[in-house]
Amino acid sequence: MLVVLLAAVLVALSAVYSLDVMRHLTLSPGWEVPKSGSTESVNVLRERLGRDDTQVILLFRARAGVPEDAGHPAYQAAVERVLANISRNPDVRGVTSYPMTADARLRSEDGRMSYAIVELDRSDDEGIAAFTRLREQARGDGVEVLLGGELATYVDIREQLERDIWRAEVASFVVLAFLLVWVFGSLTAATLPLIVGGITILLSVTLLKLVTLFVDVSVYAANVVSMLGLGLAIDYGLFVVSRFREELAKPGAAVAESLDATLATAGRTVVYSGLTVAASLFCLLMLPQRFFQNMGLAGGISVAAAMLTSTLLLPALLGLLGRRVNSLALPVLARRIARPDDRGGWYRFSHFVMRHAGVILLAALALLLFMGQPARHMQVGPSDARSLPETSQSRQVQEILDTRFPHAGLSPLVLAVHTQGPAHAPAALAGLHQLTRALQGLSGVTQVKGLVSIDPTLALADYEMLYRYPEQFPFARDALQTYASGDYTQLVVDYRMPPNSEAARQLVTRIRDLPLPAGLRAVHVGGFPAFHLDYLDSLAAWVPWVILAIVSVIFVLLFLMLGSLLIPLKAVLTNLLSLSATFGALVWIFQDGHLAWLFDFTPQGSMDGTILVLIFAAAFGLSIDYEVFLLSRVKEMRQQVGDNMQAVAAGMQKSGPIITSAALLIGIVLGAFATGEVVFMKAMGLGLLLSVIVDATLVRMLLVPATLKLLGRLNWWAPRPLLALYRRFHLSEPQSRRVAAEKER
Amino acid sequence: MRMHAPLPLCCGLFVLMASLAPAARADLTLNGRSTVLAMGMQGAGKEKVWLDRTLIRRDLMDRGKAYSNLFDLKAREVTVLDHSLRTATVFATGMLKDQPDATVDGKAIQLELKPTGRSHTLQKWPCAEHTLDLRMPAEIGGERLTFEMEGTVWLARNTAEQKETAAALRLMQEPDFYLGVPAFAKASPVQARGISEAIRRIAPLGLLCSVDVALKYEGTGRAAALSRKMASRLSLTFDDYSTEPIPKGTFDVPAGYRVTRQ
Repeated sequence: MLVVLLAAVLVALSAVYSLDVMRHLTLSPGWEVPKSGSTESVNVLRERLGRDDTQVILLFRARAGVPEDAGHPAYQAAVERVLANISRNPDVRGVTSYPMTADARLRSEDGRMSYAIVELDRSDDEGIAAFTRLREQARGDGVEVLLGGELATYVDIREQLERDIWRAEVASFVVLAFLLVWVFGSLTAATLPLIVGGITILLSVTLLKLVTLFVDVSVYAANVVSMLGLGLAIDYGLFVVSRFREELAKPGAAVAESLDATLATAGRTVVYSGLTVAASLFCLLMLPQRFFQNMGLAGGISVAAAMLTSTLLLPALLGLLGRRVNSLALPVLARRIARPDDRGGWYRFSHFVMRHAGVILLAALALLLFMGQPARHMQVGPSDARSLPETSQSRQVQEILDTRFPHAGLSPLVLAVHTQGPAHAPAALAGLHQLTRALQGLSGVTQVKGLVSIDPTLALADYEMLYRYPEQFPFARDALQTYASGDYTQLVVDYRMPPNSEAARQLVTRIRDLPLPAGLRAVHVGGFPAFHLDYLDSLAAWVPWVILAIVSVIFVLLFLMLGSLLIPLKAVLTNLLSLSATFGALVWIFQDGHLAWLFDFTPQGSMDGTILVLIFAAAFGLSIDYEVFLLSRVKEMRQQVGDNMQAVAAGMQKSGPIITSAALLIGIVLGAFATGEVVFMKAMGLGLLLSVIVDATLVRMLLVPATLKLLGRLNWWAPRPLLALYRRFHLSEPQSRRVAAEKER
Repeated sequence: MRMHAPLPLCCGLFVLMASLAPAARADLTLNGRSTVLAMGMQGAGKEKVWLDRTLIRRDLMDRGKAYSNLFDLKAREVTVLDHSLRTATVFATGMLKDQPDATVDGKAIQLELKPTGRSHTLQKWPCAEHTLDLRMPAEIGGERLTFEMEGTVWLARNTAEQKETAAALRLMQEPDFYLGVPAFAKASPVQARGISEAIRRIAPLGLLCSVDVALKYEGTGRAAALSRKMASRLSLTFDDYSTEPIPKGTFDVPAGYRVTRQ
């Protein structure tokens, strides 16, 4: 009762405290790689040149009554009216439009529409707020205005995700409620995991807000908290409530004793499972990007919250309810639940698997390997506006620009250059001139803008004179204000290839390989392709270590739980196989575009690296989760019955329905996220769902019993020194008083 | 980087040209469009000018940002409004005129204005084309050069509005008359001073309908060679005018703007 009261007070305080959590989370995702060239470029521009701007595209499409002709006075007047609306916006640093400049690159090839580039004076969170203000102002009567560009795409994705996640949460909560009633056959029992889920989210959000006192946390963390927190809490709630009811159903069982047994078995398993999932997610902290660190932290927090509510609050509620946990039973469902069968379908099935262990093992492995085949041609690339539904403005803008504006250069490379001495001094200008010429000579480069490329007719000597008397040449004065400050300057490089292409990333590499001319200290290449190249390089460098860490940590935890060397090894290997099958399926669907019609998305020909890392960490933890539940039951049964096959079959029978229900429940949560409109959220939801399905079926139903059978006595073998270690530090379940008493009898 | 880099020069020219059109009924509003071509780039935008006796307001867009210049010929002040930053910076034109390098001998300014015989009408104004040829000494990069402005100017003479421009014209003819856009006056004081002088001479000849001129520098040294490469062209055309009363407050600094005096 005391725990429940304390929990009620904590819930109330948490609810009040966490009300404004979203205001404490940063909108900036934190994908940048610290100390990389692209990040240094951004830092130099921001800190040395005072440039913190970002570009927004305003695409103008004629409305009825206005000619579809970008050069027509009526069209231009309509565009100018829109631009006049934003001309007093303090966030706007400048605008370049077709009516203003007559620059052919700003007009479509067929001449029917044009676009303007708006330079917003802010980036990150302030930039996003500035963008939303700009969106309100950029409206007109004669032309429809579509907003695009990197920032617009990011904001569109963010807003679409918010809608998708809200819908997924509501839908999954409703479906989960019905499913829990079906699983438990009792309204009271079914309500408990939902309470645990709700309080877990609240607790996680509160902890997340506390974390924001010390580090920047992205809003994406809140999504992780809701998805993982809800799924795991309901899973854990299911395990604990089921076990409690199972213990309570035993002849002569008292409430206190049943609760004791529940905590000693399912409770301990939940803690152990939580540790493995959290450990897996915490390994993301090894990656240098704040985004992954946030995800790891948020994941760890939600798992910890789920563990706490399932092992502290839920037992307290069960203690209060006692036998009333079965109250408000629905007769038809209750009868089904009331007929537990020690030798039911799961028992018979596992015996079947073990009788044909060799064949089934080979068949399951072959199937997993087959499913994993497409992963061999996986391409990792950035997400772009095509991640969004076709109705999204930023996607429309990207597609229109791609198809109708062949010369649009919207994601330039930005080179932050540190010069020796003032940037406008002759020596620095000579270095810049040499670098500019080298850049102009690279294939794919269409234009270089900077201090020494104002006009192609000007020679280096001309620039030296211009910058010697900048007050007398307005061009020079403006150029210095725009491009330079002290001994720093910037060069802007437009190029021909798509910004998210491998060719654009190769261009970045070629620029970085250029020799540093005399007069320059350093050149940092930034811009989208550079950012993405650094991002991919960082993943390539760090992900193997993260995988190794996850695998090692889980191996150690499994060993400490089971006291076995081979079972953890087998678990890790089968998990890797299971994940490769999941990745194979994801590549087949999302990269190759199969089933695009079913899931309603546009394939981008590559997989988002961020999603792959997140799926790996989360799915590895979740996959181990089921194995932990199953193996803990098998071990428990082995302690009771001694025989390996009997223990496996009994463990399967005891855990089968629960694991299936748990997989179904978490599958619903993940599946709901897969119905979202943003492609990478679909991939994330579907990837985790596939991983759960593969794990709950192929791995848990076939691979585990088959290998347990084939390994026989070796299942529980470990070298003597390791066994000593295990006996000292093991995490395995102590036998509850009743189990011990039963054994003694 | 500004696409139309010599903007200060244009500002000065446009405003000064616009000031040729003081209104008889004291209220005149002109709507037009200006274009600058420089270094292979174009900058174009709408222009709006209001005139009320000795007050002139010009609204312009510079790279999509809204600005206004408020001229008070009588008080010899110009106020630059930055509408996005909500600031008003007041300059005394006397201070700009008194810059040490802004002095130019009026006799050194050569101005020729010849009618070509071509004409068109702007609503009721009969606009006659004139060739404009202005030459004046300038100094860039330590070299003595000749600043040249050649092109056409369309002026409306003998209009009802022109006959009653006495107040503004009188101010323009005073010896210390100086009208400059601060940025232009600071960047190119000699040219700004020269154009002020030119305005003084052209003003009595008529109201401005449009202007289209090429700007260049001539000389023999390195700065001259560079300046030749930086030749530019600018034009201003008024599409319509109105003599409706100008809304109250048009020539005032809007409420809430932070005012600083230079």
